[in-house]
Amino acid sequence: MTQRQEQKAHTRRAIFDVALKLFAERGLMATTTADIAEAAGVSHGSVFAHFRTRDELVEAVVNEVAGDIATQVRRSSASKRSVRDVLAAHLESLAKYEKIYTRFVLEGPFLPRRARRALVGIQSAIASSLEEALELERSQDTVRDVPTDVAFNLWIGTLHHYLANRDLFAPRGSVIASVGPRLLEHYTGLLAAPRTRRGS
Amino acid sequence: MKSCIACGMPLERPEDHAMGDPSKDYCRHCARPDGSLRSYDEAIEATSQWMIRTQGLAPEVAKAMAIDMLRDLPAWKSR
Repeated sequence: MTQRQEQKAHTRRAIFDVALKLFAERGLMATTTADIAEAAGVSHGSVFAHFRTRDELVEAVVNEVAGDIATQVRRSSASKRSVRDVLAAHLESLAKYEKIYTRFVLEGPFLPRRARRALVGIQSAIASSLEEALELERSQDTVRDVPTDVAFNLWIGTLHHYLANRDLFAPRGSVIASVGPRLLEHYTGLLAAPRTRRGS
Repeated sequence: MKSCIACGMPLERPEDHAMGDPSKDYCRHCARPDGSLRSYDEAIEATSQWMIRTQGLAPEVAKAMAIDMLRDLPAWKSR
C-alpha cells in the first residue's frame, strides 16, 4: 500500500469510527454528515469522498456491526450446543455493541433498505443457530414443542423491549448486564420440557 | 474464511460443505440430494421458506429479502 492509499484508508476509518460513535450516542437519523465531519476533524466534502452518500455510510456501519455480531454467535455456538449456549452467546455478542444495537432496534424500520437487510441478516444468523440448538434439544426431548419462529420472536421481542426502554430498566448502566442473566434463566426455563415428560 | 457461493453461509467445518466435501464451494443446504448446486429459483424458494420458518416473516417480505440476500453472491451474479 502506498503512503497515499494508507492515508486514505486511515481517514476512511476515522470517519467510520466517529460515525459509529455518534450514531450510537445521538441516533442514526439525528446525526448529520456535518456533525460527523466536524467530530472527525475533516471537511464535509471529505466524508463524501469516502462514502458516496449518507446511506452508504449508514450501511457500512450497520454491515460491520451486524457481521461481527453474527460471526461471534456462529462461532461461539458452533455445533452441538444447547439453546442456552446459543442465547448466552447472543447476549455476549450484543454486550459489546449495546448502544449502537439499541439504535438499530429503535430506528430499524426507518433505515435505508440495504442497512435494513443487514439487520435482518443478524437475526437470520441468530435464528439459524437457535434452530440448530432447538432441533438437537427436541431430539433429546428437553424442550417444549414450540415452533422455531415463535421461540425466536419471543426471545428477540423481549430482549428488544428491554433495550428500547433502557430508561426504565437500566438508566445508568448496561441493559444486557442487568437484565440478560435473568432473561436467559427464565426464558430457557419456560422453554424446557415439563419434568414429567422428560422423566417418561 | 470461505463462505458458500450460493447463500453466503460460512463454510467453517468440512460437514458444512455439500456432501461433506471441502472442495465444493457451496454448502450442504444449497446442494441437491445428488450433490449438484440447486437452481436460482430453488434457492429463492428455500431461503424464503427458511426465513418464514425461523423468523416468521410474511411470505412476500421473506421472498424480497431472499432476492436481496442472494443478489450479490458469486453463484448468481451473472444472472
